[in-house]
Amino acid sequence: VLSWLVDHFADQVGRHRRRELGTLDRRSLLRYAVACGETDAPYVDVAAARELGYPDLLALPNYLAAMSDDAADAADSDLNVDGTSALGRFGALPPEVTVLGGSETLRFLAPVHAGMSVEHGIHVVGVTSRQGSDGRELCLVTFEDEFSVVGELVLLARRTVVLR
Amino acid sequence: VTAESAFLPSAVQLMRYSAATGNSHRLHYDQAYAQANGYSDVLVQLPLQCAWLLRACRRVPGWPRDPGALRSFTTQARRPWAAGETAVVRATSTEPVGGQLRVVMELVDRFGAVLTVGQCAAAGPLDADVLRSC
Repeated sequence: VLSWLVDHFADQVGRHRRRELGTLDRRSLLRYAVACGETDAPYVDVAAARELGYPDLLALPNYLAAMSDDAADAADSDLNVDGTSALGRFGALPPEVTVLGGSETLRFLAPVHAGMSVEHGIHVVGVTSRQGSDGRELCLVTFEDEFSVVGELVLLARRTVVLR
Repeated sequence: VTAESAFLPSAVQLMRYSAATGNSHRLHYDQAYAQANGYSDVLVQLPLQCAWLLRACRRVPGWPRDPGALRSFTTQARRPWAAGETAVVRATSTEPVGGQLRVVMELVDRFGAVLTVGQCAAAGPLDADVLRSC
């Protein structure tokens, strides 16, 4: 399975996918903030965000990166056994494989707020394998996600996930 | 200067976070699946941990009040974190680098094991007046 995974992702290196995330609405931003237990005013109160000079409710810094899980757009029948999307960034995975978060770096280029229309680009930048601390073999895949508004980057996310 | 924040994630909170983000990964809501994979309970999503690390960073005295000052955030998961387990984020400011304020963070469980580490950078130097008042 490990060599299959490495080949599967190596084949995707250099390919780009783009999609529209649509216009960010206050309700979605607020729902995310509430799910995080957030109470800081600019993320839950439009007036507080405006007081700081922003045109509308601010998104929590990792909102876009957290919302970029493409399983939300997949039908139940298009999910892998672990719940990730077989149509998304991982593709169809063998049933015994589980995806885990590994590491993430976010570069913030502009604050994100309600009313923005966001485009999302994804590409695989690397794949490698190694043995985990428990002796199990792991496949590590690094993705770069670009989020832009009217052609201007607002967030760059580079994340490495672990498949085992 | 260090700020600490404690978190006790419940299975309900993890389910609500998955729902808000459209994350259908079973490790975060299906206890039987999580246990079959060797974990004691459903696991805390890494992005939720990131949101909490970023919040802890904002609690460090001297951190800019303007959310737009945030420039970068990096994190690395070290160990899985299961629902029902309390963990504490320790966020500590360090010497500015290249004119940017830096805060390093550690998420530690009740046994002292590091679950996740992170680092934030913001534009501008530390607010010296705030630091002196600590």
